[in-house]
Amino acid sequence: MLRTRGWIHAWLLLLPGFVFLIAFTHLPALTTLWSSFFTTPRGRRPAKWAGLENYDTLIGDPIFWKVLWNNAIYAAGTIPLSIIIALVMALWVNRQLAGRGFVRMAYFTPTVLPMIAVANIWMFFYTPGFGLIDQIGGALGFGQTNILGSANSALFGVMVVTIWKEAGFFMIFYLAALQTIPTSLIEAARVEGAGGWTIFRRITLPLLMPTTLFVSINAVVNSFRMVDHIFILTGGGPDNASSLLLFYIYEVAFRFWDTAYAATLTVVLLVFLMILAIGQFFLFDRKVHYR
Amino acid sequence: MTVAANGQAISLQHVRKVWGQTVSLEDLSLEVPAGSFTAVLGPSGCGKSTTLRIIAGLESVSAGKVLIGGRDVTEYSPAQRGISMVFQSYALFPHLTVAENIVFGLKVAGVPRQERQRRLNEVAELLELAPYLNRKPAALSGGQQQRVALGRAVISQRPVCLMDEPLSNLDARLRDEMRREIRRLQRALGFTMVYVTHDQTEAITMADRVVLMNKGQIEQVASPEEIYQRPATPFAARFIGTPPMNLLPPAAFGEALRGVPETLRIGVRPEALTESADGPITAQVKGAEFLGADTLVELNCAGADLLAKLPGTRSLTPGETLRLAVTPDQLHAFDIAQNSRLEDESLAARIRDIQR
Ligand SMILES: Nc1ncnc2c1ncn2[C@@H]1O[C@H](COP(=O)(O)OP(=O)(O)O)[C@@H](O)[C@H]1O
Ligand SMILES: [Mg+2]
Repeated sequence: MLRTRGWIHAWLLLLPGFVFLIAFTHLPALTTLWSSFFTTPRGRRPAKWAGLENYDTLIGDPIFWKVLWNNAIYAAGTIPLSIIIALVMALWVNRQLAGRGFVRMAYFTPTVLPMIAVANIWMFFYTPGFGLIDQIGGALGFGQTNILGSANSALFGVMVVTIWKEAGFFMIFYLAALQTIPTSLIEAARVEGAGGWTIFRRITLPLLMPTTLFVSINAVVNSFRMVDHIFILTGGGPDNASSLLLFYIYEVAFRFWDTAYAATLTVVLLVFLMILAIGQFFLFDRKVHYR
Repeated sequence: MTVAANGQAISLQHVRKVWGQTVSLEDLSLEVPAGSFTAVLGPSGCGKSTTLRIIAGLESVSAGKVLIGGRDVTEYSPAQRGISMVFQSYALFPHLTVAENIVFGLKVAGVPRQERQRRLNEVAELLELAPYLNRKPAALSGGQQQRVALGRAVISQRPVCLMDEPLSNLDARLRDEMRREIRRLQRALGFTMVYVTHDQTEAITMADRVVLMNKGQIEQVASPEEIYQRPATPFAARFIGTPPMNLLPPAAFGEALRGVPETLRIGVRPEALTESADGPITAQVKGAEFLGADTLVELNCAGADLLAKLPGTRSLTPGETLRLAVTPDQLHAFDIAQNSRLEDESLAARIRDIQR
């Protein structure tokens, strides 16, 4: 009797959260899956059952494969680099150096800036002819560049901005984690004869593993999710050279108004994210020591 | 273990340590003989940990020198000093197993796997840790964690072992047990031990020599017996022994000590006082506390507080007057202005005369 009441109580407390979670996350996801089996309704033509037709189109769509490949490069390039830079900055800022507060704030700035603002700042760096890069390059005798305008380098230009933005964000997590490591552990290791590198590799790094797991899941998700800056920097061009999966979904849905195909692409994105998150969790989990 | 590490002497010479405005240690000089068990005792904040960390090389000195085994190690890193250390929090690596924790230093030093395993087995046996070698520290009780920390400290057989209040996180029963265990370990292995504690019982029961500190300075260095029987300063007199020694002004002895300097204090331990009809000390009872075998009586004597530990159960009413006596060799004399013990023969004779 009392236990039943306890259960009811618990469910009632969970209810408001559930309502929002289901209404705004789970239902739309299911609706998307459902829509991907229909044709796009156009004018007076309603949506018709299409079976796996949309998925057929997807497999035959060269742009889909192109943006998927771009996304793979983008993820492989931004995730490890932003995590490593974040860790190095955190280790650096965690030391007893003069003006530590200022340095921390400086590193954190990219995080508080909205991505659109960040992109605008980088626009100023990248602009051919009178952007910062060309001005410095010109002064040193290099020729004019057009990083965002050429198909070979546009994606890398976008990746640099992402790393710049993400590293500061991840640094905060590493910094917080570093401060929970008792100094006596480091001192004990020093007394036992360990040098700086050994302490980092055998003590600090393993104790930061939970943070690394958290940060890397975030980084993976962000590599599929953060496309704001593409709108400002390249618009996905030239010739889809810097387009990513989510940006392509946006284009298909709201430029070409092919909502059914956009739903199909979204399902692919969701499946990707799920596999990556779950895989990462199991892969890392064995190596992570939780305190 | 088969090979006993040979202890090395430690010498601090005019060590000073300041943090900004805070003077933590002031002109501290200390000799720790090789192979001795030296306890650094003192109230909280007196600079015990700072002293230990300076020996370890975890803090630098502001001035002065540190010598270990005759070498000047002032500028050496902790690893170069040939020391091991047990921290108050144990500082076990939480992500490593007990075995990995213990052999951490050997591994860093590149000791071959077989040798590591051999020594690990010895230490595990010595400290009864064999069943737990594959556990993580979090899965151990406080006492077991303490043993792992000891194991990590002794496996490298370094000549000096430093401990900073290693027992303060244990309950009373375990503390007694570990006290004996640490003492046994130190005797068996022969290293020089510097043991920091704020607990006088620990210092007195474990150590060969006690270094008593107060406010960043050394008050007395002596054997436990001597520090109890012949405290060198009023601070030492009151810090060692529970309840603390009474320090009475000359007026407590009435006319007999007329003319001695007002800075003189006569020290009498509460347990040295006995009731006697013609005793020289007259005092009024303020209260009494029953301790089982004895009664602790709080008294007022010439305006000063006085504690007496009288045998048996006594029912005393506040305001009652007691006369107390003490055997002359149980009396101590101090000068509070000079912060020192007085060995003044004429004074001793006068005090002895009162007793008759
Ligand atoms: N890192 C530090 N920074 C500033 N002051 C310190 C530091 N460590 C210790 N002190 C000061 O030095 C004095 C002695 O401290 P400590 O050696 O830890 O005392 P104990 O171990 O005897 O309790 C204290 O007054 C303390 O405030
Ligand atoms: Mg301390």
